[in-house]
Amino acid sequence: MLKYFISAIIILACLFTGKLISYAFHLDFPSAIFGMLILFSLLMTGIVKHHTVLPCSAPLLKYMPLLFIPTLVGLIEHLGLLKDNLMIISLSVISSCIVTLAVVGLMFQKLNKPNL
Amino acid sequence: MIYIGIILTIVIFFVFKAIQNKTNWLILNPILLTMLLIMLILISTESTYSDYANSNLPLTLLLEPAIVALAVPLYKEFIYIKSQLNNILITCTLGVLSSTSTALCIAYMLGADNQIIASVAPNAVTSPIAMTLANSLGGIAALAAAIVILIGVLGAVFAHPFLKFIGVSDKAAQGLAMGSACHALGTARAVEINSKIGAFASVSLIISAVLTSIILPILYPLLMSVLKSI
Repeated sequence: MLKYFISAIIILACLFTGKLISYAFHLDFPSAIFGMLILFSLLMTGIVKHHTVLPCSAPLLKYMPLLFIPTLVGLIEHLGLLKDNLMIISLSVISSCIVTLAVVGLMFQKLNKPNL
Repeated sequence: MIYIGIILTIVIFFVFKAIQNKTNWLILNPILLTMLLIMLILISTESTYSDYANSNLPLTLLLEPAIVALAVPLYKEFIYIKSQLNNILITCTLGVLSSTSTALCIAYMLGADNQIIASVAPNAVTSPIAMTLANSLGGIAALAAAIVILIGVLGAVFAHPFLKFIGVSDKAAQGLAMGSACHALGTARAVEINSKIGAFASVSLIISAVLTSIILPILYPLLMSVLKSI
């Protein structure tokens, strides 16, 4: 029980520190991602051991899809907008995906085999 | 009956997840199917979204702690890829720049408004991060997340054949490309194809997500002001 409590406290502490920084400096940067970077640096420096956060981080990551379904259903309030912009959205997103696949794939292949 | 909404979400999600585990078809994405079914239920019972959202508040509140928890896989991958870190960082940065700027520029040129542009820009990152990013840029979180998942389903099917078609034969490069362009679903497919492709896909999934969260809030206003001044 205690290990769940400790890992929950660490994760929440990182999140609130992230929120505090975002708020104090009036940044548009998503505060949860700040929290993630804080936890990441704690893990890298060894201040927090990876098995200490595991009791809470593992189930959170495992069921993450469940956590954003309610927000996703909010699309229901924007169906009109989606319909009006369907062409624009599909064109821009699909081409962006193709360009990224090509850029990343070819670039890394080139960097890894400089002789070819 | 405030609990109905949250019970609905959980039950439907696990049913679709069980179906997918049985059939192993990536097209039967449980997130997408759950979303569609709940939307149908809300429409047919004439319920309001705000009632449903209130009922699901406990789930939604856990999303931010879950994003923080993403630091754990990032940390694990970091140790694994240390020797190739530089090349991976360069490639993923390029990937992030190309995915966000391509989507943003095309949407802008086709005449989309700011709300739509901010929702398509983070199309290459994993949905919870795309949601927070779209929100902070003034887009629609739900739209951004739906786009991300659709791209993931498409990418899971077409990305690997496409990469082979354009001559990317290196397994590490294939994985990296699938993770950064098609995020979690591309990564799931990559793991199926080959464990090396899968490992690199999960590395680039998480590194691209972090890089996008750092780059996009700076790049978005910059590109928008450049595009508007042309």
